[in-house]
Amino acid sequence: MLMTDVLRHVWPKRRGIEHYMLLMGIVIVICLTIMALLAPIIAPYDPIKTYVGKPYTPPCTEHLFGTDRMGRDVFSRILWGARSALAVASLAVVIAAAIGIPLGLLSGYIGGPIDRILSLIMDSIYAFPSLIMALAVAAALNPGGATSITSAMINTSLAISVVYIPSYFRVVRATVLSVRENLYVKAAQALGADVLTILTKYVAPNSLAPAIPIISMNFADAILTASGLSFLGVGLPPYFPDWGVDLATGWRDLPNGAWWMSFFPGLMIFLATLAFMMIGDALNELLNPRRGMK
Amino acid sequence: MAGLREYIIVRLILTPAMVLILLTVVFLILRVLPGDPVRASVGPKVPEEYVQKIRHELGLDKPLYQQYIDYIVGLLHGDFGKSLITRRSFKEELLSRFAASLELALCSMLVAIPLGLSLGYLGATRRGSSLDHISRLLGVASYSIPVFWLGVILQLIFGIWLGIFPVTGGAPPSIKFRVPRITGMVMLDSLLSGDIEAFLITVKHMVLPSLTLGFVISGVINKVTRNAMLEVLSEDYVIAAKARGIPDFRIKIKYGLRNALIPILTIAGLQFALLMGGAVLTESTFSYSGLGTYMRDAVLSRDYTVVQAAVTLYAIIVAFVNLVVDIIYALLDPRIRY
Repeated sequence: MLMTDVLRHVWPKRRGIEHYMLLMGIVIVICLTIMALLAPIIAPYDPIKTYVGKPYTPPCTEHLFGTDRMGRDVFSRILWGARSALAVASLAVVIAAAIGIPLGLLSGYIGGPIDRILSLIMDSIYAFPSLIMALAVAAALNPGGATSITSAMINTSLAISVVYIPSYFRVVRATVLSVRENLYVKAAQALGADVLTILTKYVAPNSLAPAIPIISMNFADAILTASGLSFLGVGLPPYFPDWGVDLATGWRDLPNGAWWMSFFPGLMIFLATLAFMMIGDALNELLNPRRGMK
Repeated sequence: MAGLREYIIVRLILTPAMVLILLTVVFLILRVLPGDPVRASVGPKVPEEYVQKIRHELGLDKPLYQQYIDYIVGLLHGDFGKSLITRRSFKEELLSRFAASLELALCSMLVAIPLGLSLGYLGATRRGSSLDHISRLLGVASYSIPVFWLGVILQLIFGIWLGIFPVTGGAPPSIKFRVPRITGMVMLDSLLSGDIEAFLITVKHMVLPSLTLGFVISGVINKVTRNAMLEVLSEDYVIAAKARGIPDFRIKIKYGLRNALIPILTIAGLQFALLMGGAVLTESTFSYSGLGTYMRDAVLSRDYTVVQAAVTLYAIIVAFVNLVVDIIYALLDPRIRY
C-alpha cells in the first residue's frame, strides 16, 4: 500500500466516528507538542524553582493549577512535563521499532529454526506484563540513580522499549510470511539479488503498513508505563518536572486535601494516552480491510 | 481427537519453555548490564574485602553460566536464593505477598466481569444508542486512564472527602495477626476460621483497590462482549428464533449472551497479564502489601535476587493462566489446532 493510498483511505469523503476520533487524537497530540516545544516561553514560572508561591496554594489566578509542598507552580511543571513524556515515549518507540521491525523482517523471510526460536522468545515477552518487565529492566538500568537527566530519560526509555519490541516483530513477521510468496520477490530471488536488497527494496515497503497503528498504540502505552515507573519511584528523578513524578509527590500530600497536586498531572497522562489510543484505534479500524465491509 | 491431544501436549511443552525464556532474559539483563549489585546494596563506604565475602557467600563470584545453572537448579527445588540485602531466604515472605496479590486480582475480577459484561451487553443490544456510546466511551477511558490516578481520585472522594472507605488497601496488620494463616488470603482465611468481624474489616479495605483495578480490566471485557454479542446476534439461529416469535429478551440472553460467553471468558482470561501489571500500580497507590509492592521495594533497594524471584513467580502464573485458557479454548473451538 502506498502512502497516498493510505491517506485516501484514512480521510475519505464519507466519514464515520473513527475519522473524528482520529481527528480529535491528532488535535490533542498537536497541542501537547506545542506545549512541550514552547514550555520555556509559556510557562509562567520556573518549574524547578521552589517557593515561587506559598506552599499548598489551591488553584487561583496566579497559580492556575496551584502550588505543591515546596511552593513550585504545578501549571509550569505540567507544561514542562509534556517534554519528558513525549521525549521518553518517542525514544522508547523508536528503539523498539528499530529493533523489532528488522528482526521481524529477517525472521519472517528466513524462516526455519531461527524464526521458531525468535518467535518463541518474542511471544514469551509479549505475554508477560509489560510494566513488570519494564520494572525488572529498570532495576538493572537504575534511571533514578543516573547522573544526568538525559541519561535518566534514556534509561527509562530503554526499560520501556524492551517490552514493545515483540509487538513490531510479530506484526511485521506475519506480513512478511505472505509478502515473501509474491512473484516479485521470487523474481528478485531468481535474478540473484542478495537478502539485504530483497528485504529492503521488495519486502519491507510492502510489510510495514500494519506497523503504523502499533506505533500510536505503543506511544500511548509508553506514556502510561513511563509515568507508572516514575510513580513507583524507579523512573525519572524526584525533582524533575514529569507527570508521573508529580503525581507521586502529590499522592503523598493527598491526606492534606491538596488534590490539585495529583489531579492535574494525572489528567495530563490520561489525555495524552487517550489521544494516542484514539489515533491508533481509528487507524486500526481504517487500515483493516475486513472492517470496511461491515 | 488426535489433533486436540497433540495441541495440548505441544502447549504443555511450550509453557515451561516460556517461563525459562523469561527467566533467562531477566537473568541476563540483571547480570550483564553494568553496575555491581552487591556494591550498590551495601553502599560505597564498605571495604572491598567485605563486598568480596558477600559475593562469595551468595555465589556471585562464580562464572555467569555456573550462576545461571545454580539458579535454575535451585528453582526446580523450590529455592529462590537469598536476598542480597538481608542475605536470608525470603521464600516465606514472597509467597505470602503473592497470596495477597492473588486476593486483590480475584476481587478485581469480581468488579471487572459484571461491569464489563453488562456494559458490553447493553452496548451491543442497543447499538448506536446513547447507552452504546457511553459504554464505548467508558471502554476507551478504561484503556487510557492511569490506574494510579484513578486510585488517587477514588481515595480522595471516598477516603478523604466522604470518609466511607479507608485509603489503605488490604487487611490492616492487627487483622493479619489475628486471623490464622490457611491460604494466605485474609478474606478467605477469616471466613474459614469463622471470624466475621475480621472479614468485614478486610472487605472494607479491599473495596477501593478492587474498584480501581476492576475498572481498568473491565474495558477489555466490555469490548470483547460487545463484539461477540454483535457477531452472535447476527447468526442464523438468532434470526430463526426471532422468526419463531421467541421474546426479544429471551433471545438476547439465551441465544446471544450464552453463546457469546465462551470467547468473552477466554479472552478475559488472556488479559491476566494486564491485571498483574495493573496490580503493581494499584498496590503501590493503596500501600497494599502484595507481590507488586514487594518487587518495587526490591527494585528500589537493588535486591536483584528478589526481583528475579518476583519475575519468576509472575512468569509462572502468566504462563499457567495462558495454558489453561488455551486448553479451554481448544476444547470449545475445534478450529484451534497446531
